[in-house]
Formats: sequence, structure tokens, C-alpha cells
Amino acid sequence: MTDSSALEGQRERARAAAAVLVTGVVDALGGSASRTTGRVEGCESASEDEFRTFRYTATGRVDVGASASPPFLDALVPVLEAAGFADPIPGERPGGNTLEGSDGDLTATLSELPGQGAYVLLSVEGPCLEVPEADRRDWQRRTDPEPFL
Amino acid sequence: MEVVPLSVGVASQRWDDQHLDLDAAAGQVGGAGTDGFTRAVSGAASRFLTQWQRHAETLGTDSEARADGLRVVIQDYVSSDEAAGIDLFLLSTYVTEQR
Amino acid sequence: MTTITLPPQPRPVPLLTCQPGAVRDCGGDLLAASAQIDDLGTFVAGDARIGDWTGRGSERYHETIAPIGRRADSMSLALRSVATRVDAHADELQRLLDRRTDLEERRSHLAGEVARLRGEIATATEDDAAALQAECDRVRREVEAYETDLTTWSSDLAAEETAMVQAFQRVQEAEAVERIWGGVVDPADAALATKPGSGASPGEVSTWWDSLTYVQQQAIITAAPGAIGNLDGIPAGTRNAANTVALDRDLANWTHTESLGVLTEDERTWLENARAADEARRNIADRVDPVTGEPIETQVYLYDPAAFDGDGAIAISAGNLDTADNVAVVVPGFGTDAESAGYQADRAATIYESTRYLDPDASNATMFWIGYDAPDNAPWDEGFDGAGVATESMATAGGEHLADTIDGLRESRDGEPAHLTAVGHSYGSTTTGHAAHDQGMEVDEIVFVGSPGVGGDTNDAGDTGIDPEHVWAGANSRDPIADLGNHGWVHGETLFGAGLGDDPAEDDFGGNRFEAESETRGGAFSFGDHSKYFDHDTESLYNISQIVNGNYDAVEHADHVYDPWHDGVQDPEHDRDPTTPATR
Repeated sequence: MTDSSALEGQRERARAAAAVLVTGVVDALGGSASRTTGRVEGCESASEDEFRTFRYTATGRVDVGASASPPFLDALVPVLEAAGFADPIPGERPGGNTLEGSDGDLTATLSELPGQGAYVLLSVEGPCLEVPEADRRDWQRRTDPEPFL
Repeated sequence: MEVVPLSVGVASQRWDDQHLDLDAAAGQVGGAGTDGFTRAVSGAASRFLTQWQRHAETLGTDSEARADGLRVVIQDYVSSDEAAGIDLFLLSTYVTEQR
Repeated sequence: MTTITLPPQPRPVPLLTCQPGAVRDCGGDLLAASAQIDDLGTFVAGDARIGDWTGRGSERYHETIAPIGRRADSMSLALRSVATRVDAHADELQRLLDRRTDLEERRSHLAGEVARLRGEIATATEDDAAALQAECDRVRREVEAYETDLTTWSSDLAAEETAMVQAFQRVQEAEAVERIWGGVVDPADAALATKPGSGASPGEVSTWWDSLTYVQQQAIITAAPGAIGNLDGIPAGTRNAANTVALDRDLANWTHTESLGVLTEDERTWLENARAADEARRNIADRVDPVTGEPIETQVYLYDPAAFDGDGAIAISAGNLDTADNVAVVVPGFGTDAESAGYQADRAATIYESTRYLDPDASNATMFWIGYDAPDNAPWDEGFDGAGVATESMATAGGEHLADTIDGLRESRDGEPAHLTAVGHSYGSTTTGHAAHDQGMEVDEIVFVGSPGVGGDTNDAGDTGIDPEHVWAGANSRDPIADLGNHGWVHGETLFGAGLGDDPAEDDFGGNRFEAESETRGGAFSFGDHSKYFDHDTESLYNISQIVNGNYDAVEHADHVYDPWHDGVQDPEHDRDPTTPATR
């Protein structure tokens, strides 16, 4: 079990990395970023009203510029690498494609869904961490509405 | 002297509840944020909210006055020589404001 | 040398700094406050009148309160009108922001076109002149069209701002409120007079609601949110609007009373339930749709903080219940009451995310439903003996509520009916079983997970009234609650006293069993494994989501539990290595 400071640290690092990535995606594809927020999410349930482990997930959306042409992820490998997420791996998700890289214990995922629109989704998250039992309710109730960018 | 039934005491408490609720509503209006409006609108929004906080507080004060007024009626009645009956003890419990 | 005329540079789009969400919140606060003022008017016309008090004192009192009632009525109508205007203003600001984004993209594109043409002209020959001028003319026309749209946008913004400012100023002073709204009849009054009585079917309620004008509907949402917020047959979007008014008002009232130190015991319980509902709606709204990246829409479908002797009733949806292709209603079990709403909201949001992730082309809504009085005696708190105290009576009563809720969801939707799934977890599966067997609940799929039994009268999947092909069960081999149900010829209630009916994961039951093992399962029975069915990247969430989406071929089936006469209960899943299919 870790103390809650590890999850606090994960939050800080995920938000900072996500801010760099969103900026890089806009630089590479043009357009504008929105919904640049994050949240603490429960991972493994412990009972009918609480989680045992939590992780932080930062997310954002970039509506790409009119001059960008699909597939958008092709242009984003350097963006991930420049942000410290080395050797990004292309993958698939239902209805779309992904590009995933790791930096230490953080994982960044970029995805596009061609059938849905001209935008790229981004998420940066850490591993699930166990927090002290006394802190579970606080983490579960925590909100984080302030945009990271 | 006219008989003051127990229902007068119950009504006084309900007026107190209205006072509490309207004070809460006043706080809600006063606490409503104007940050989301454009600069062209936020000033008018702020003035409106300030004014309406006062309107709601006034309604709350009026409600409290009605509760206080009923308590005076009860006090006068239970203190009089003409008061009698089994409800007298219960009625006297309403003389003091509960909340 | 031919002169080529370049198109003009497009004007930049002015900044628009605003937050429609914050504006909408402001409107919500005003609406809740107007509901409170409306309550004062209702009070003066009703409970404030003291019928058994006679004499001069009584006359004076009633003369004094009448003007307060009239003032409250006019003030509530005035404040409601401004609140409604603020809400519309938020919508218009969002539209203006969206239009600004489009204009900005067009300007950027056109600026690039002008720069390109300037470069081409610099190196052009006489032979290129005609074609280049034609290209310049084309871009000029595009710039002119852009300029026209930009001017329209600017004037629309100015008109909207002026209208909003006027709405604020129009009823700022008490005298203006009285002049404009004094004596105006609340449109809610006549509409509520025609409302069907208690016991009306969701269909009758729906017909009544549809017969009202838009103005009447909006008036009822504010003036009498309690009259429709929890009424089956009212559309989910409307119930959400009414319950949001009621919830915001309750939070403001009881928090204020708490701050004065005069909260009663009952009010403290209700306030805790209201706070749980608030936490739940925020938990969902803070998360994002995995397909669009936008916040997940939230609907408060049921809000009654005083229900079930203070346990409370709350149901909140992730997604739009009125329009979603696929709707799932999750029925929790042992140990849940309104205070569990925050966690249950996380579950609903997780299922929503998973269903959307797995089928981006379908729209979804998932609602947690704490709409019945569930047993408080959870086995993990009190052991099997405690669970044994639980009987089917609460599930029977809860099943009736659940079937009514499903009827209401069906009846209040326009257009295509939803593909509707009831997901019963733990004791909630017993409740779901009763809703199906006793009440003929009209769902397309029934999913039982971690079930201690689906009710004594439901001996096999066919007894649910649903085609057994659409009856599903998920049971983790380490979940001791899922092992409580009756097996084969040995009935569980004789061993544990639970008596909640048959195990839906068993071969004799005749439903579909899907894989539901967890990678973090223990070596033996563990209560922890009873709660993992809805966690991300688990077999159970993946399969539940495929069922909710109607993608039956993608469901990973599991071999049933069986109970040979010569040996104990056998679970073929016990020795299979669990997998972690992606759900996000």
C-alpha cells in the first residue's frame, strides 16, 4: 500500500505531460484544444461503496485544423517522443486507431475515430495505486475541474 | 379573550421554517456566480443578484415577523386569566422560538 | 504588364470570453431560489391559514399574510422568468462560441489562401495572369461571404447581450416586479389541476404531460418539481430538470439550516442523502465520453432524500435516457442506500464508458437505480448468518418499483424504443428476478451478476418471462454471494438460511453464463470478488457491455455451474485463467 502522496504525484505528472502533449498535437495538426481536464478514477472495487485502488487520468480533445489530413496519428509519433513517451506503438480500438507510448509509469494514448469526426483524443494516466483505507472516501469524492491547459 | 388554538403555535413554527428557507434562497442568489457572462452582461447580472438577494431576505424577514407576531398572540393568551384547557401546556411550548 | 487585384485579408474574429456552463449554473441557482419563493406563496395560500382560529386577532393575521402571499407569487414568477432567460442565454452563448470556432477556421484558411496567391503573383508570368485573377476573384468572394457572416455573428452577439441585460434590468426593483407580474396567474396552477391522480399508469401520465403547453411544462418544473420529478411517464430530461431544482433547493436550505446549528435529526439524514446525490451527479459529469471526449451527460431520474424511512431513493443516469439506443438500468443489492450513490454513479459511468468504447456508433445511457429498500445486513459486514436474515420480501416490493420504472422509461420516450437491459447485482438480482417474474417487467435483456438467487418462484430462465436466450448470468468462481443460490437438488436456504432462489449461473437454470472471472481474484471465496463485476478491463464488464449493446456474438460464454448428485457443486470457471479485455 502506498500513501496518498504517490497518487498526488501521479496527478501532477499526468497533468503536466498531458499539457505538453496537447500543445504538441495542436502544433502538429492545427486546430484547437478543448476539455483539457483530469480526474481521479477508482480502479478495483473493495465493496459496495468504495474502491481499493485509484489512478489519475488526464484527458483532452483536439479538433484538428482544416488543412490536416487523416490519418492524423501518423503525424503524432514525434509529438509523443518529444514529450518523453518513447517508441510509440500503433494499435486499434473499436471504430478507430491508437498510438500509445510510455514514460516511466505514465501511459499516453492518442486516438482517432475516422467515422466520428476530425479530432484526436488524448489521455495520460498512471497505474492503479492502493491508498490507505481511511483516505478512500476522500479520493472517491475528489473533483478536479480546473483545466490543465 | 378569544381562544388561541394549538394550530397557531404550529403555524408560527412553519413561518420560522419559511424564514430559514428564504434566507437560504437569498444566499443562493447572492452566491450565484457571474464569471461566466461576457463583460457586457456581467455588470447587470451582478446588480440583479445583489438586488434579488435583498428581495429574498425581505421576504424572509417578513416571515420571521409573522412567526414573532403569532408568538406574541400565544404569549398574551397563555398569560391571561381566561386561558384554560388541556392544550395550554402544549401551546406554551411555542412561546419560545425553536429555530 | 497586367495588374492582378489580390483579395483583401479577412478581418480577425473578435474574442468571446464566456463560460456557458457557469452561466447555466447561475440560472440553476436562480431557478432553485424561485422555487423556494414559490413555496412561500403556496404556504400562505395553504398551511399558513389557521382555520380553527377565530376572532379579531385571526382576522388581522389573515389580512396581514395575504399581501405576503401575493408578493411571493409575483416574485417567484419574475425570478423564474429571468432564470429561464439565463438558461437560454447559456445555450445561445454556446452556439455563438461554436460559430466563432467555425469563423476562426475559415479566417485562418482564407488568410492562408491570400498569402499563397500573393506568393504566386510574385513569380507569375503574363500568361498566368488571367487564371490567377480568376482565382483571386474566387477567394475574394469567399472573403466577402466570410465578412458577411462575421458581421452577422457580431450583431447576433450584441443583440443577445442586450436582451440578457434588459431581462436583468426589467425586474430588478420590487415595484417593477409588482407592476409586471402582480396578479399574474401561475401557468402551473391550471396545469397541475388536470394532473392524473395517484395510481395513474405511466401511459396516462405521459398523455397528460404531452397535452400541456411548453409554458405550462416549464412552470411546473419550477413551481412544483416534486409533483413530476419522480413520476413515471414523465420524460427523463424533464424529470432531471425538476429534480435538479429540488436538489439544489434542498442543498441550499439544509446547508443554511446546518450552518445555524438548528438542523433536526431527520433533516440531517436528508441532507446527507442530498449530498450523496450531488456527489453522484458530479462523479458522472466529471468523466468524459470515450468517443467524443466531451463530458458525459447526466440525468437525475429519481431524487427522494426522505424515502424508505430516511434510506433515500436516488437514480442517476450517465447518458440520455430519452434518446439513447441502448439503455441499461443497474440494480444494486446488499448494503446499498442513498449514501452509496457516489460509488454507484462511478459504476454507471464505467458501464457507460465501456459500452460506448466497444460500440462507438451506438448511443447509450446507463442508470444506477437505488429505488427500493435494500437489505442493510450485508454479508461482508455480518457474515452469512446476517445475510441469512435477508428474505425475499424487500426484493418483492423492490421488483414492483423496478417494473414501474421500466414502464415509465418505455412510455415516456418518443420515437424508436430503446434496447433495454436490467442488470441486477447481488440482492439486486433477486429484485430484478421478482420484477420479471411477478410484474412482467418489459426489458429486452436480463443480466444477473453475483446473484445469491433470483427469487423462489423463478426456477429457470423461462420463468422470467423473457426468452431464455436473453437471460444472462455472470458469476465469479470466488464470489461467495454467487454461491448462495440453490443448486441442483441441494437448496441453499437449508444450508445458509438465505432462501433467495436459484443460481442463474447453473446449468439447470437454462440461461447464458458469461465469463466473469477477475485477474485479481483470490485463491478461495472472498467478498472482495463480489464487487469487481463492474470494474474496467474485466471479463464481466466487457460481456455486460456487449449484452447491453446487443452484440451477442461478442459475448464470451462460460460453462455453467453444475451439481452432480454424487459430489459437491462444481464450477468449471474455477481453474480457468482470467483475461483482461479492454473496456476503455
